[in-house]
Amino acid sequence: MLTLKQRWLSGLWKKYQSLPLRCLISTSISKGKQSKVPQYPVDPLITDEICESDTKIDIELVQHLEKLSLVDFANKEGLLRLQAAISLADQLRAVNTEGVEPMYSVLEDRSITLAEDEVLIGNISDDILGCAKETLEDYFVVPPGNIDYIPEDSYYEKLKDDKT
Amino acid sequence: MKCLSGSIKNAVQLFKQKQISPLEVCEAALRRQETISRLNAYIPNAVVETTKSEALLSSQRYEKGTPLSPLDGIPIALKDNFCTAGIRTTCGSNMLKNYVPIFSATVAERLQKAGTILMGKTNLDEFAMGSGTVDSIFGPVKNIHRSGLCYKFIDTSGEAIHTSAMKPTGGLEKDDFYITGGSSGGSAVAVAAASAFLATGSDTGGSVRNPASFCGVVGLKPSYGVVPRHGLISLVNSMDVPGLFARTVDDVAAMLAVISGLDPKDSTSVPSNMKTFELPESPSIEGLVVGIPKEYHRPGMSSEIIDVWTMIADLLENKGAKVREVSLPHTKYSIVCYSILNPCEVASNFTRYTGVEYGQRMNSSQSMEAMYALTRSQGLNNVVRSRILAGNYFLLEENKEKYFKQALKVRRLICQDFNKVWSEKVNLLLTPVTLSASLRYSEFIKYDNRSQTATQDICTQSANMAGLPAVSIPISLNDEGLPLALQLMAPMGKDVEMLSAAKWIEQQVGYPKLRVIDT
Repeated sequence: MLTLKQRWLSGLWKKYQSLPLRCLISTSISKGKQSKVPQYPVDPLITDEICESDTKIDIELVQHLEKLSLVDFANKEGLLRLQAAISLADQLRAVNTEGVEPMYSVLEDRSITLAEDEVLIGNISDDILGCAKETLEDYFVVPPGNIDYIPEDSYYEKLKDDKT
Repeated sequence: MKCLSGSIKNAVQLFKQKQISPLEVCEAALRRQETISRLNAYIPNAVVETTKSEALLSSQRYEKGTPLSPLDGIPIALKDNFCTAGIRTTCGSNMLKNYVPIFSATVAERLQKAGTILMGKTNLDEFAMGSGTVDSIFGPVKNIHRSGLCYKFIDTSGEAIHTSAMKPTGGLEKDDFYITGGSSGGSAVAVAAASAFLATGSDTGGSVRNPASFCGVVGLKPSYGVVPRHGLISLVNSMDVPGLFARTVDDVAAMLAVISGLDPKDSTSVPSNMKTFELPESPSIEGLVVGIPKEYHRPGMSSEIIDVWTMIADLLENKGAKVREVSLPHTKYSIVCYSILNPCEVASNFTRYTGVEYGQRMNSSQSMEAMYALTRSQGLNNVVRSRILAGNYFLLEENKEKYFKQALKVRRLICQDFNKVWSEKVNLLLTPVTLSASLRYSEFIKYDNRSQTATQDICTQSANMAGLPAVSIPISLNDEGLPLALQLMAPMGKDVEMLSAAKWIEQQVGYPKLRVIDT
């Protein structure tokens, strides 16, 4: 295997010379001066620096997250995707952020214009209700609430089976 | 019709001289939309019924000599995550498949008031989550380059001598195609194929610049807050910006003038003075300090990208700019940081999709919670659901500090890197947009959406973290006949100065025009 630098040395300049845009550069910068663009990667991939994450997901966690999210994973693939997302996120733990304040907004250093407290649009309740599938008089209609969503019995069994 | 693939200025001049009418251009644009229909750039069945009558009204305004703005009569397209009153707005998702908003996005409203003609809504990754425009319920969008459609390249006159006429334009074998990039792929194709002069996109991690670079058009991500988000269906509130597509920098500038400015309906919009500006005829780069962030040479970046980057940096240096190597050491973390902040904001934003007030609803007699869960499972694709789950994981009481807060701190470090560079009198940064030219669909789908986004947004994401303006400019075609592009970034609020330098580069490189041959 050639290293990246060797690949650069062998192949890059040949290609560079042959590109049509080359004619744009009347006096070549490479005479005596070097281009400011680095010709090989400067930073390693961060995955090379940090060992793999050790976070594991169990069925209880899955159930908890599904309840919070009101969605289901439904399969092993979904579990793996979550695991992968967490592994990626774990790479950030290596960054030293001591004494750094969290940044919520890029507009933090300026005043944001507040809207006047006045009604700009009104009398559109019919339009708004018109977007809903089920309404009664001026209300949106839903089935009884505050009942935990329980997927069918076999659901988590299936997830466990998939895992093994 | 030649005028269709020309500049806005040219079209408007012809309107004013009554050599051609907005209605005629509109009809030509509709024919073009038909010609490129198999690229899947537009949301099907969403052809705007009012299109021709709007164009007729515009024609009458020119007859009377009272055009509404410098964009009157210009065909445009909107990404289908901008709400349009009375016109279905789907976000490429089952959840909103039949959703007809009762209001229009501020951007859509401003474009309408300017007299532009809406040609249609464009296809996108579901809820703008993706970097390929392959995850939409309407199917993937195909890049026009090497699509099998008939087109040719025309060299612009000028000093640059391109050999674009000799670049391959034939279709790929076995139904394969090149991706458009994403998530605003439909808009990029709509503009590249000249079915519209202008299109909006949305850019949260590179969703405008990435497809602009793969499709050979100009893609602008304005400074955060300069263009209002009201009516742009939210992905990540703290990073989303409406973006702009056009074939030339001047056209992008003309659109920015119309859609920028404070909006009382958007608490994160900021005042700006971009309402009336025109870029100089021949911009100068004399004395401009251009930084080359060395860390943007990422492992795995293709040599042809490094080549164009090197050439334009050298060109700038030779023609009077001061080019310097600079360091943005935390940029390499922006993707990982984004992989936490995006799901966190998504988990919060997407609680609105319950099926109760609008959108798809699956009925369940069991309970409200069951109805929500069924609706969301049916309505949202794997990618969206995964992000909601991941977000809720990162936001768990025991994880909040470790993931969410840590990511927000890294966000500050990323921003501080930029501020340090600006304080050293650097005016602009020049970087690649993507790791390579467009990829074949067959290659792209080997990896899932999450890892693709992590790879593809690597050069673009940090601008969203810091709220900076950034623009993708097409530079040249590679041996496969695919566009190669570069990105300029500038301090917040310096959108116009950045576009001026982009125009200079555009004039120097003379990127060839793609002309579709209507069948």
